[in-house]
Amino acid sequence: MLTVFWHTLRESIHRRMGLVLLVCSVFLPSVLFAVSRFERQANGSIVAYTGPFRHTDIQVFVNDAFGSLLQFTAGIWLFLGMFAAGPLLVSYLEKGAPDLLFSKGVPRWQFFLGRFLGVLALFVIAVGVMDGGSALYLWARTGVGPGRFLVALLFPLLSFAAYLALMGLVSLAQANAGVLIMVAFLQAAFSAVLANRSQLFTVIQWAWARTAIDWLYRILPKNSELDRMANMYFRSVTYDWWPIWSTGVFIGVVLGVSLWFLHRKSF
Amino acid sequence: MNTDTAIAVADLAKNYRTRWGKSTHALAGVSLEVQRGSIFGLLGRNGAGKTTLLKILLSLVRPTGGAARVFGHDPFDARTRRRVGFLPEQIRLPEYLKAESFLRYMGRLGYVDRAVLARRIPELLELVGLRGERKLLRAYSRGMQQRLGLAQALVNDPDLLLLDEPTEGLDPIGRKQVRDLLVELRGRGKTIFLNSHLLSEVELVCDQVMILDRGLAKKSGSPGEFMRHTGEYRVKLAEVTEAIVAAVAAVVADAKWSGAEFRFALSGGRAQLNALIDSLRALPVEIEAVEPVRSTLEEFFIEVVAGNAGGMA
Repeated sequence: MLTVFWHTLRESIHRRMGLVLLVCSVFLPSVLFAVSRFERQANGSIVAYTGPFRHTDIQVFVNDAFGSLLQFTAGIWLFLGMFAAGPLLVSYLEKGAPDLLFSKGVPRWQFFLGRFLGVLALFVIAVGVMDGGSALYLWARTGVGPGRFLVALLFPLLSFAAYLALMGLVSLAQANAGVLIMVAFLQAAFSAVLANRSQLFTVIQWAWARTAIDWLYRILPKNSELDRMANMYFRSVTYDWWPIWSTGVFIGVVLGVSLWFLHRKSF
Repeated sequence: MNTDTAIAVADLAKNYRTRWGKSTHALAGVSLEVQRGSIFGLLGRNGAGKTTLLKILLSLVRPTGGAARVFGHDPFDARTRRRVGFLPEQIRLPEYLKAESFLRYMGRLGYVDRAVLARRIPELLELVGLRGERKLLRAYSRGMQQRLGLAQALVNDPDLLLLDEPTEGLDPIGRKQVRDLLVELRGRGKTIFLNSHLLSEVELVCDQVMILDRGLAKKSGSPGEFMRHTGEYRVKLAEVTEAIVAAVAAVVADAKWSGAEFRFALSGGRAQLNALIDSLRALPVEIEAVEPVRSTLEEFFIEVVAGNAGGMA
């Protein structure tokens, strides 16, 4: 499995989106901090400057920066991750590849999990470089610890793992990167609608439809809530276990079903 | 199944279901045995079920019925596949790799030790004529891809080599090299299962051949058995005159002339052949050759798949 894992990471570098993700994760925080300047005052306090703006409350400044990074990670970064993941999740299933790969000694489940973990690792590395690097930089310059921010990053990572699991399952039926990305986008939109289903119920009056929507909400991953919770946790340390464990169960079940399908599949 | 058997297939069947629920059979009860250290050729038209059979032996396709064993084990057992090398008909190479890193990747997937790979990869590249090739795989021609495909099939030093159209895309020299390699591998005790359209190649290297047609095993035997005597003889002369034609016609009624040679069916046994030679020797003519006419594997194959050769032999 380790061979597949490393190969996936290697392949991601050779594919443009994986490379773009990594380059951006270095470039974006570099630009962000190139425009920031920190000065220690005579009283020992630190003042931050961003262009013409002066920030005297350094705690608030750093928390705002972390908040922006979290929003960026849970937003654009997740979508970029989907674009990088699509081709990586299907390349080993495209015509001509399974014959070559699955005829070797590695069991199929190891291929699937190796790919899954490889793509997840790519995203973790990109997030680690961008957010982790930024956090360390701010910590070194201001002394404001990034502990809670780093823990809050686990929410979008869980959310991305749920997208990946779903994309992995779809890839077994349709080895097409475009379809996978579309499904992930649909899930992102759907999870936002389902999280706010009370508003939907104002226009949907049928009891059976409401029950169906409720069940869909329970079954599907709670991406929208996880992304929101990342900020909530960072700001106030309040979080709800329900979206976390239910998304975790979704990932486990979908991975299990995918492995079963792959095991049974003829190529 | 005895220990000398590399592949044992019994009553193997595979049905495919179309999108509209219609069932078509790719294999309809095929049985065969391949002995260790031999080259087995599977022949058949497009869609005969050759690739399906090969894929079942590699656990890429699940059979609908029957059983397949590789070295006495289920091919779906990953450990069994570690003893097998496979060259698919359609190979998709990771375009961003070079030959060496590709073989290293394939070797690791086959659980080959890194130290062994470091020694074996240059040898294999030398063997397939790709030593020193620094290009990315995306720049490889079809022939180069095929050579590399063969190298990856050998990277785990397999006991059984399954090759689906191994000489496809190769030039005549490349084809001969592959043929020589197969014979050399057989000499080292490897078993080779060859799937090919190129009957002349199968004829040259295979110990056993099976003809598959529409999912059914039609004929099985050695190429020598298939290339049997047709009962006809060919006589080649230095020249032909009216007197010669008349002398031949007096002995054999159905001589088919083509230039200075003729073919005829021997109906009167060896005595008739000797009588013909005697009557020719009585004339002023030089006999260049008298030889029995044997059917080629290609002729036999066409006869079988056209339905003229009866049931399974």
